[in-house]
Amino acid sequence: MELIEKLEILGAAAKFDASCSSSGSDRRGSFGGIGSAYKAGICHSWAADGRCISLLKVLFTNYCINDCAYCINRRSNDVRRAAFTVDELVMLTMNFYKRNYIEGLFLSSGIIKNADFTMEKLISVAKKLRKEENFNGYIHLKVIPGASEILVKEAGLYADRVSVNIELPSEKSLKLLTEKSRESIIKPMTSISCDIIENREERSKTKKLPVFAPAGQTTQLIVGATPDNDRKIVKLTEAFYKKFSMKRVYYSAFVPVNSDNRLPVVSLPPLDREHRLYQADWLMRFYGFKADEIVSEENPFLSEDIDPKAFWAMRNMHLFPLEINSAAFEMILRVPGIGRQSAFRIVSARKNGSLDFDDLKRIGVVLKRARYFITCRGKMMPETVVSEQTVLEAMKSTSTRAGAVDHTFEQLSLF
Amino acid sequence: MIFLYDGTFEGFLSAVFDAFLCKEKVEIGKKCGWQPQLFSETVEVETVPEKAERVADKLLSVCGRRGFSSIVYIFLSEVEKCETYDFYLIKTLFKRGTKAFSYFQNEKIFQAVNIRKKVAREFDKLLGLLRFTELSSGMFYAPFEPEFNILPLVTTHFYERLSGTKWMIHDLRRGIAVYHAEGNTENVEFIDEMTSHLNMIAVLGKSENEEDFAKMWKNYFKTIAIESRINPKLQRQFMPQRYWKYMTEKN
Repeated sequence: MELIEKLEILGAAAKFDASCSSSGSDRRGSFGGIGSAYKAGICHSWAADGRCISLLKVLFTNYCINDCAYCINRRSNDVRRAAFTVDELVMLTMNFYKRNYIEGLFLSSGIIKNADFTMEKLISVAKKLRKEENFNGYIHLKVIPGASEILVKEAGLYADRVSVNIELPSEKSLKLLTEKSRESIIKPMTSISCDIIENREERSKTKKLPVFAPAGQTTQLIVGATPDNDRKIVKLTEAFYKKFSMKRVYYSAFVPVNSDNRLPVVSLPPLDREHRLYQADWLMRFYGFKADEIVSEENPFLSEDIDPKAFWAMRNMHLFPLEINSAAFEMILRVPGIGRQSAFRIVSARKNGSLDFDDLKRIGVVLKRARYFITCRGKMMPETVVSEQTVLEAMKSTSTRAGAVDHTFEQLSLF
Repeated sequence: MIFLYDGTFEGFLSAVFDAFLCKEKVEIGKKCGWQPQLFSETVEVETVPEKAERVADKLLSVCGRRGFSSIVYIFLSEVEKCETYDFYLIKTLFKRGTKAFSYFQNEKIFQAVNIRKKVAREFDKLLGLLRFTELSSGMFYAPFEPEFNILPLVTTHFYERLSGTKWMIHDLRRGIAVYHAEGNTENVEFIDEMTSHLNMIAVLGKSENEEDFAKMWKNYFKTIAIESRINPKLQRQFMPQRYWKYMTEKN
């Protein structure tokens, strides 16, 4: 089979993996070598679906011994199959990298023979890139559930980031749709998180030790393939951040690729739900929110019309309005229309003198949203009427996902 | 008072030095192309390395390398009045320390910081969107047309990243390029304005495998999109169309 055909098959087979980030590592370039990592990550292109392409995201092979209900590569599907050789992948990565098409390699795989055999293949690609090609670009390796601890350790020595997919929010769902056990997933996650902590501690004493997965570990789960509610997902995410110090949890809107009576019948992936979950995730990572503040037991789904930050603010109107010139940073962060960057700017700009609404506009605050929740020098923005209706209207109109309108339009034009 | 300098960064810093104690309203501009104005006094600044160095040292001690790079970014923007805004930012930095970067209440500082942000944004975007073509000589060639003069910034990035290859990054908008081989960089100026990237590639010839890799990349680019999520608006939002011209997958 020609290489271009392999790449087509194994790229298409990997496209449902949500993660593509190349951040978190600052591996330096070496003289005469190729590559360096950029702490903030670099996106190299954006595909027609608007998702960023940062890494060459491919499967080593899409042959698989498993038969997971939602997966396009499951054993019982009649799809074109292919497998790279280690040399082919190394050559492809190096050549794409030199042309600045990509930031590095994101390698995952279907399971051939068993978990360890597959894991060894992935490791040998990373090893060859690092040892023989002097490659210092970004490498993200997927850890195959059930792979032995020693191999997980080795993967972390060559990779900047490692990840094990949790796949589905609950053990029950996992049992219903896959052949993987929850334990085979949680076990490598735990050992990675221990290895990372251990490595950081030892490296603080002696820098000579090789660094283990400097960009940490991530995971991803499919949203909308099972009846699990948003609260379940948000709570699970919180636990991952707390217990495993994960860098990111990715959500992937369920795309129906197989017909299987264990799966729900949907025509389009639940993109709006995925979008709201990412917003909730951001609130936990950057805005100091707890899962319980975002989704309650009584209302276990996120609002479709209103983003979770605005939703929280509207239920806590008694805490507002805030005086911008004196409020604590943690509270400013919670105002709808004020992002993290604006909040930082506000607290540092205050040191130069008091702020009014024009200053806030310059800083980048979205006053259309924020005006209902703040005062400047004791006054609300002129002509601001705070009532349930006005606030609700303002929050609704600014809560949509980019391109969301496009989508309904496209959907209509099909008929 | 208007201070005119020779267009170099060193010249600009010399102008900052000379203008620093000026009690009047200061403007700084490039000698070449300056339109004389009525009722304003003009001085031509001599570029003095020692003066430039003193300003640079002081800046580094006040705001560190990160802060200093902001001053460079604003200078490289080449937008109208950027030197004047940069001057006021420097002056405020000396007076207030790094707090000056968030002095949004002040119009000039706000303009300066805003320019910095735009340059940084284009720099970040183009680090990813720049595309190299391998030529028959083994050199990797990347043409681009940045809005701001970010070639020096881009050079630093690829100097570390592609230290094992020979490469040239060519700013077609300004007719300048940087060539790198074995740890040394060299500035190249194109006098012939007809030098287009297509001419360059045609004259020097592509490497044997170049078309194959380009084809594989284009094909991969198409494959990776999920059909049921197609969203061209989102794609354009992240990847402005003005950058598509030199991108392999978009041609």
